[in-house]
Amino acid sequence: MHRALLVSEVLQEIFSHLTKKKFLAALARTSKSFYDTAMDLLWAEIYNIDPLLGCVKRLHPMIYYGRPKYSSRSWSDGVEPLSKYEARQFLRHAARVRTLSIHGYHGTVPLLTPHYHFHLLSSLPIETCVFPRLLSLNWIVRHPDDKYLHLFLSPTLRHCHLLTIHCDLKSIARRCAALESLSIVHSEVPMAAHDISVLSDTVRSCNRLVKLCCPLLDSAALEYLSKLPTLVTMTINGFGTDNLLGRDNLNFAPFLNLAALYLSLSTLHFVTATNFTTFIQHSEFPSLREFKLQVLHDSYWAQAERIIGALSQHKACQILEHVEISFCDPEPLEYLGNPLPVIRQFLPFMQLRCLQLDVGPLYLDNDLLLEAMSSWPHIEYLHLEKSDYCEPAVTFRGLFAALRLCPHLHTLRILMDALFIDIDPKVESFQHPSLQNLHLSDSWIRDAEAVALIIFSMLPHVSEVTYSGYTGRNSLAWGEVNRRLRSFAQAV
Amino acid sequence: MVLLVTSDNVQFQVDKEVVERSVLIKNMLEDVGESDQSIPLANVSSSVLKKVIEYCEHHRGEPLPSADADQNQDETRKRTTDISEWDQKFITVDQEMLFEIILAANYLDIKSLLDVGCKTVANMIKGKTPEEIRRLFNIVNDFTPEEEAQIKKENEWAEDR
Repeated sequence: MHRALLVSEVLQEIFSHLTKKKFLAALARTSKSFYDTAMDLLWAEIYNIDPLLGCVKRLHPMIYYGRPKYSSRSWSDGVEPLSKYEARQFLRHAARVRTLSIHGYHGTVPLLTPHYHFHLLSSLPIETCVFPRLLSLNWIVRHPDDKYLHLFLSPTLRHCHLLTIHCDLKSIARRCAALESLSIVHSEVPMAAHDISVLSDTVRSCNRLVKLCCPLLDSAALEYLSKLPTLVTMTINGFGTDNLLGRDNLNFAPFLNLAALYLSLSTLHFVTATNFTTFIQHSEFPSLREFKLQVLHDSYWAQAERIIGALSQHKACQILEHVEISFCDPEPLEYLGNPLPVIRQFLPFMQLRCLQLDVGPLYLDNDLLLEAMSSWPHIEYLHLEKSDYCEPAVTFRGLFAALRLCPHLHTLRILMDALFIDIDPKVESFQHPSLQNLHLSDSWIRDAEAVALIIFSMLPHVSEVTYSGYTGRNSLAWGEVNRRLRSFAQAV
Repeated sequence: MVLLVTSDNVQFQVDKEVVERSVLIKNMLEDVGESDQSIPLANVSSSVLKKVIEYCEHHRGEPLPSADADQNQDETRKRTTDISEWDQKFITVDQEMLFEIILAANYLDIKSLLDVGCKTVANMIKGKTPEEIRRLFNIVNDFTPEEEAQIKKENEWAEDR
């Protein structure tokens, strides 16, 4: 054997390129000098505790040769908890685990009756730290199985993602002093006052948080976070029913290093918008560069408008570089057929490099596009299109007038009127220096050759146009544009 | 130019830009400052250093991985065992030389070369049984049959992943 294979850092480097578990399992059995390095990598990331339970002699045949995998009954139903001796077998490789995911899913499909087998651990002392080197815990466990969380909390834990709020949450700060990232997806809407209070108390005990994702906290917790210099990213993913912040005297310090603020919600209602606008109005974000608002269902543009309005009157709008507003519904619930006057609200955001407005039919014409581009001289990525159900009012003349003002733009997604050819590429000398990705969705078009010639002459870095594929009414013509773009390029 | 002296006492005059792909030598040069002093490489033989210099010459001017390269980048690098065409041709050597290059890259701290060497060995291991791996690298099985069976049993969950 070559001496290189006795150097542990070389082994580590070689084995780390083998991502399939079965290759590492083979290496672990090859020789004693390979064993620890291979086992550390093999056990570094596991899903559920079944692999550890498989190390217990009594349980091994039940796990691997027992009940069919997807039976509604678990192999562990009615099985006695681990004895003291068996607990040692269970813990044999637990110290190798760095990333642990506990969930009741098969692939991405949630199981109707997930089996966690936690009752087998009921004999472990309450203060047992099962995973002494754990870095990341993904705990997608519902009540009542979630009561075993304490066994999984370790002093080394950096990232923790939980599904629910429960009493063990408060022990997180005590048990996980190194915690940097805490994420809680609370699925019960609306959140009870008691849950908000538990969550807020927990957050106030964490003093090294870099990333936080949770429902909006009470004013005491927000005040604590505003003074936390480590906090860089905050995502708010839910709200209570009350006007949570309105009742208190708000006294926040500047969120000194907060660079990204996200609002990711299932629904956007009046109370939600009120809470969030209050939060914005009473906070300072001297380092904020990124803001995202995502709504999964029940989108009300009027409420989003209040939030954006608050943001546009905030000092942060002078430094924000990346803004994304996205509604998963094709159009807001109160939409009555008129395009939304959204774009004008973003004109004060002078430092924008990326703007994505994915909210519904937007009002945009040549004049507004020109005004927008003159407001955003640094823009690199611009997405102003969600729905084809509005009449496009931007023509080639308007598009190129605006493009002259934004030399850094590399991606543009808009709906335009390419029926009306109001520009002659033979007399225009302008060529945009950076635009590479042009998405025109189901923009109206008739003369594919003329359109292809304009794009080829004036957008030299666009090799093809992206459009609404087979579903668009104009897709045949846009396909023809791309065919012509390819043939122009070959002819050069 | 920088003068390198190998373990078998052969001298190599190498361009500073080329030799600075080694973090070890780069740091040494920074510590010593402008000097005509030679750098002894007690752990690298002339035949191996020749190959290492060939690699560094070819990759001259390419950006070096920064010390604080983010973890995601590191993970992406590790998830793949792809090797570029030139590197693949370069590393097609006998097993003895392959491991010597790996040791030299590790000692000289040339991350990209270490990667190429280790990915090559990883590719040789893929899909092999423990017995085949032992035969490939001339490794003695120092487990008792009971110990090996126990490890197999504990890692049974990993057999189909």
